Amino acid sequence: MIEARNLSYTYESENNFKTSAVENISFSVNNGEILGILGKTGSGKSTLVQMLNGLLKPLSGEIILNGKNITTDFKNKYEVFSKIGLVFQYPEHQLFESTVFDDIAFGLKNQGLEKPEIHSRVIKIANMLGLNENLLSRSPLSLSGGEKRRCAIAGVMALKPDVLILDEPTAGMDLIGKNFLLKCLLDYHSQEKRSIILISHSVEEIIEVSSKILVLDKGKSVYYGSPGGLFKKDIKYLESLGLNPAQITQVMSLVKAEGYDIPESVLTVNQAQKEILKLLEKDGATA
Amino acid sequence: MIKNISIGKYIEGNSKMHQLDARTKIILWLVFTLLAFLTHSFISLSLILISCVFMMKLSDISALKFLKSNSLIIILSLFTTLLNLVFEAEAKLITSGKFYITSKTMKVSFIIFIKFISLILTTSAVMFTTSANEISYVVEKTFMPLSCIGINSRDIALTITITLRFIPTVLEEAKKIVNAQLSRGARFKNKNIFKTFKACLSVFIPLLVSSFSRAECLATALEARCYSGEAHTSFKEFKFKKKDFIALLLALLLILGVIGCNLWIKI
Ligand SMILES: Nc1ncnc2c1ncn2[C@@H]1O[C@H](COP(=O)(O)OP(=O)(O)O)[C@@H](O)[C@H]1O
Ligand SMILES: [Mg+2]
Repeated sequence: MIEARNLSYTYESENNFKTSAVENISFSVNNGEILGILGKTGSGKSTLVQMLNGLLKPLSGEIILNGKNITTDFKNKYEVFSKIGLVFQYPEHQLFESTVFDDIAFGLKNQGLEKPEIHSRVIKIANMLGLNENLLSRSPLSLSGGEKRRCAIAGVMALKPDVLILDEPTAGMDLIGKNFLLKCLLDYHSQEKRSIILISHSVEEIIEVSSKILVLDKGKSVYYGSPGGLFKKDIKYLESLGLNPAQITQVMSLVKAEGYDIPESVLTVNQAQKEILKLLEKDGATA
Repeated sequence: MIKNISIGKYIEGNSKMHQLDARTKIILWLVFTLLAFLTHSFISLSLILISCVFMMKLSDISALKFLKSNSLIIILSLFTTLLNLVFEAEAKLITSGKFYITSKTMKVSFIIFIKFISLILTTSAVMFTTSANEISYVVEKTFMPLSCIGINSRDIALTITITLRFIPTVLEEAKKIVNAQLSRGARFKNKNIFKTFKACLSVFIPLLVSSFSRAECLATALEARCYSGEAHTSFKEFKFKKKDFIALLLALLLILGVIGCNLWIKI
């Protein structure tokens, strides 16, 4: 379990110009839970998660991993990095080994694991992420965009971190690539039962898989709670937070304007389907 | 560490140094650098150092700023001086185990240190007060005569401008890659040299890849915007003013002073 308590961070530029990027944020993620972090560009998401694994030192507040404070209770920062795996935005830019296999194994080798153990972990993770065996001996630079992305993510997953953090893992991908990656993440989650923190600026993408949602706006937490609670918010308010509502949300808000009894904001197609079926059943009962 | 580099760090301002023509500043820089390299006498180096401090004062940029942006180089030069002090073989003045300090090495080390500091001060004073555009314009004008042997001075100037422009960007990028590699298990401090080397490689290769792709984008963009290497006009007017003549006169005085010191005063 990872817990953030009152985290704040301020960037200081050359001429002492200060940008407060994160202000007083708290949350906790239990083992096996997925926390979704939403917010528009510049809302502080990346800054927040870089504090979580100790890359940025918080101005105030603390981070507790399984009861231990990450800044004081660990031997060194490398131990924290291996317990809290952070996948940066566009992680494929960091691929560098000559084969996909070596790239996924890079972190494992540094941890000093035995060869057979490394081999089995790499194969398992690659499988989970849909990178089949004949890809493993190729150069990472020869892969397709989606494959590169999954290869880079596999390198962090292979370390078996207690908490896996992904910063906008689907940024810049097409719909098929996105869906495939999300499916892979869910496979990982159901097999490993570890915590995941998933950053996105698309509500639709993460609302169904998350156990909790944290919404950031200008560095502040404006919503923290169950995904269901977000449906009760006014659609205009969500829009003002930069959570660009999906088309289905806009359609359903028109339906609601017609006087039908549905929640304030219907955020996904699945939910819309349920609501419409409910309406139809009700209609059937009255007719 | 990455922040401590003064190259390409123009600071907006309107001091006496800012007002000088870029050509004057580059000549001043050359004069100071050459003098500092060529003289070894204590008195003329002090003269140079004093002039450097004067130049720094004229740039209206705080001494603290100079120290901060050069802290890395200053520490390096202190370190070099110290090495010099300890390992130079001469008559022993102070001995401690294997190490000893002599009066001669003390003097040599001190002189080297003054040279370093003078170089750092002039370079920063010129860099802080001259924008990349001005530098590139001067380079373009200076290399103009080379066009008769087929070298396009505008290309050289543009290359310099772009390099200066992208130094901070590349450093920023390097920092990001280091962080990303740390997060995926790279170990930069490792007992195993091979692994440390591998970790450095993990930063170097992605940086190279991104720099090349950035260069390619830039080249395409230049072409798309009709860059042809032909001469162009500058927004800023380049004209020698009274200030420039005064500055050059002072530089000449400094040269004469240093020569004089070397000829007549022996310390
Ligand atoms: N290295 C930096 N230096 C200064 N300011 C920064 C830096 N990185 C981010 N910021 C600022 O911090 C704020 C939050 O940025 P970020 O955490 O990257 O947001 P997000 O990931 O949600 O897009 C923004 O206002 C951004 O301009
Ligand atoms: Mg971000």
